[in-house]
Amino acid sequence: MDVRESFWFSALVVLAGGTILFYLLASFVPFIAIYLVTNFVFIYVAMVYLLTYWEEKEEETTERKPAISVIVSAYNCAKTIGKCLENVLAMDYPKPLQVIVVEDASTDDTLARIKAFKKKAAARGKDFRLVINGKNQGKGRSINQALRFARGELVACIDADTYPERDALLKMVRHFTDGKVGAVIALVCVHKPSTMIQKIQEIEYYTAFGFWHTALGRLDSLLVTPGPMSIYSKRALADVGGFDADNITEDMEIALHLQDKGYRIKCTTDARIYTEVPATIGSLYKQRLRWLRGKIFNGGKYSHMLFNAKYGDFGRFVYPVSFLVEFLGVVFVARLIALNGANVANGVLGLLNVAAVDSSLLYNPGVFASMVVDSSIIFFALTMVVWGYIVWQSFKIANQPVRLSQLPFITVFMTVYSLFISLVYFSSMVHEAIGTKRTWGTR
Amino acid sequence: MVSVYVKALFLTLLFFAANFFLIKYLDDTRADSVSSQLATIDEEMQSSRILLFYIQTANATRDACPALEAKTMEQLNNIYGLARQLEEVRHTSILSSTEQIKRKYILTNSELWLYVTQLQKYCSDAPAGITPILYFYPDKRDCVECRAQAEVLDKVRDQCVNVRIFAFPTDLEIGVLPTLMKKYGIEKTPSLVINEKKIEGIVTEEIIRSLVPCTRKT
Repeated sequence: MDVRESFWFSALVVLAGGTILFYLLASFVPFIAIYLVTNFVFIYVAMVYLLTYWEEKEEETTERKPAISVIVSAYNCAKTIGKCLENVLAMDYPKPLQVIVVEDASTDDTLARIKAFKKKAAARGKDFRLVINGKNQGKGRSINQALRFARGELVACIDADTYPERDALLKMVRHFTDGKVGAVIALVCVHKPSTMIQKIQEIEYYTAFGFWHTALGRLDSLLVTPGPMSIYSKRALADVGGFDADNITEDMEIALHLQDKGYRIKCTTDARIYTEVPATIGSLYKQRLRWLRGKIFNGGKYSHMLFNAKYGDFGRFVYPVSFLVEFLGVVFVARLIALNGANVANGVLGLLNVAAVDSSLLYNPGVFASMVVDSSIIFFALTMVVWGYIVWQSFKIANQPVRLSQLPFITVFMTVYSLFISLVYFSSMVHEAIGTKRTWGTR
Repeated sequence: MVSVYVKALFLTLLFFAANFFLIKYLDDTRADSVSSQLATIDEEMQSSRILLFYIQTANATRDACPALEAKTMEQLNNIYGLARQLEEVRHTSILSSTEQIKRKYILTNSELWLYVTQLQKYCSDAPAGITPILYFYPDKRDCVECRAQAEVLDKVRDQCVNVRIFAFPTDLEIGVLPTLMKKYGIEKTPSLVINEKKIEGIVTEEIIRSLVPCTRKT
C-alpha cells in the first residue's frame, strides 16, 4: 500500500499543515478581522440567496409524460438493494418503466439479491435488465454502460441505498419543460435517522436540498445533481458524453458539465427521496472528504467557468462564492483554534510535566472568554438569526414540523457541525495539495 | 429593477451598521462605568494627599496616621475590583479603546502603593500592617504564566486581609514604573517583589504564604 494512503500519514500531514497555518494566522491576522470578514461574507451570501428565495416565482411545468429508463448501479449493497428496487418498481408512472441494474462486481451477495428480484419482477411483467460487470468499474462507468441499453427519453439514476417516494417520478418529470432542461433534482431526505450523526444530517439535508437548492435552482446555478436520485434528459447526457468514468464525485461533475454546455438543472422540493447516510463520525468524515476533494478537483477541471459572465449567475457568483465560503470557513476555524492553541498547548505541556508550570495553575479562558462574551457576540447572534431562519424555512420547504426533540441536533448542526465540516474542508485541501490517491472510500 | 446582489449588499451593510452602533453603545457604557469609578477614587485620594503632606510637614504622625491609614485602606478596597473590570472591558470591547483608562488606573494604583510605603515609614505603629506584593507583567502581549500567577495572587489576596497586590505592566512607560523596574532589576515576566526582594518566574501559593504573614479573614 502506498504510504500516502495510510490514515496516520494523512493525519500527520493535516496536523503539520494545520500548525503552520495556525501559526501564520495567529502571528499576522487579528482574530476580530477574520471574524468580521467571515461574518460579512456569510451574511451577504445568505442575503443574496434569501432574496432569491423570497421572490415569488411561478414555476413553469408540463404535463407531458415521456418514457423513462431507471438506472441503478449496485455495489456491495445487499442490505439495501431489495428495498430500493421495491420502491423503484412501486413508483407511479403512466408509462411502463425500463429498469436497468448494473451489478458492479460486489464482494457480498448483492448479485444474488438482484437475481432473486429479477425473477419476481419478470413474474410481474416488468421490463427489468441486469448488467453484470465482471470487474469493479466504479459508478460513473457502470451508469455509462447502462445508458447504452436505455430506451427512455429521460433517464433516472438512482443509488442502490435510496428509496424514492411513490410519486417522485411524476413530480419531477413535470419540470422537463423543454429541451434545454438537462436534469431535474429532488429533495433528498435521510432515511430513518437513528444515530446522532444521522439526526444532524437529517437537518443538514433539509437545508442543503431544501433551502439552498431552491435558491440555487432559481439562479440556474445548481452545483450538483445528487447521486441518490436525479433525472436526466438522455439527449443532454449524450451531449456531454455521459458520466466522467473515474470521477470520485461523478454527480457533481455531470452537473458542472451540463452547466458548461448550457443545460438547465431544475430543482423540485415536493418530490422526496430517502437515502441511507453515514451513521458514524468516521464514515461521515470519509464521505465528506471524498465530496470535498471531488469539489476541488472538479473546480480545477471547470475553472474556466469561475468569474465567467458567460455562465450567468453561476459563473459570476454562485460557483466562485462556493469556494470562497469554504476557504473562509477554514481560515476562521484555524484562527479560532490558534486563539486558544497556546493555552491548550501549555495545559498539555503542564500535564506532561514538560513545562515547569503546574497545569492546574494554567487558567484557560477557552473559546467563550475570547469570542462569545465580548461585543462580537452581537455579530455571532446576527449570524445565528439568519442561519436559524434558513433552517426553519428549510423545514417548511420539506413540509416537516420542527420537533422539540430535534432542537439539540439543530443547535449542534448550526454550531459545532459547521466547525467539523470546515475541518474536513481543510483536510480535503491538504489531501489535494499533497496529491494522495482519490478513492471512493465508502460507497 | 435593482439586482439581488446590490440589494443584498445594501441589507448586509445595514445590518453591519446597526451592529456597530449597538456595539459602540455597549462598549462605551462599560468603559464609562470603569472610568467614573476611577474618577471617584481619584477625588477621594485628594484628602489622602493632604493628610500625607500634613504628616510630612507637621511630623504629626499620632494625629494623622490613623486617618491616612483608613483612607488608604478604603481606596485600596475600592480599586481592587476595578482591575478585573478594566481587563474585562478591554477584552470585550471592539470599538472603544481602554488605553487611557488603563494609564490612569496604573497611576492611581502606583500612588496608592506609595501611600502604603509612606504609611510604613511614618506610621510604623499602624495597627493593621499591610504587606504589599508587587507583581510585574506584560500588558501588550499574552503571557500564559502571568495569567496563572494572577490567579494565584488573587487567591492569596482573598484569603489574607493584610496582603495587597500592586500590579505593574512592564511595557507601559508611565509615572514611576521605569524607575521602579530599575530599582528591583525586573527583566522577566512574571516577577514578584515581596519584602523588597525580587522573585522571577511563577511563584506558587505555598511559597508566597511562607514569605508573607497572613491575617485570615475573621
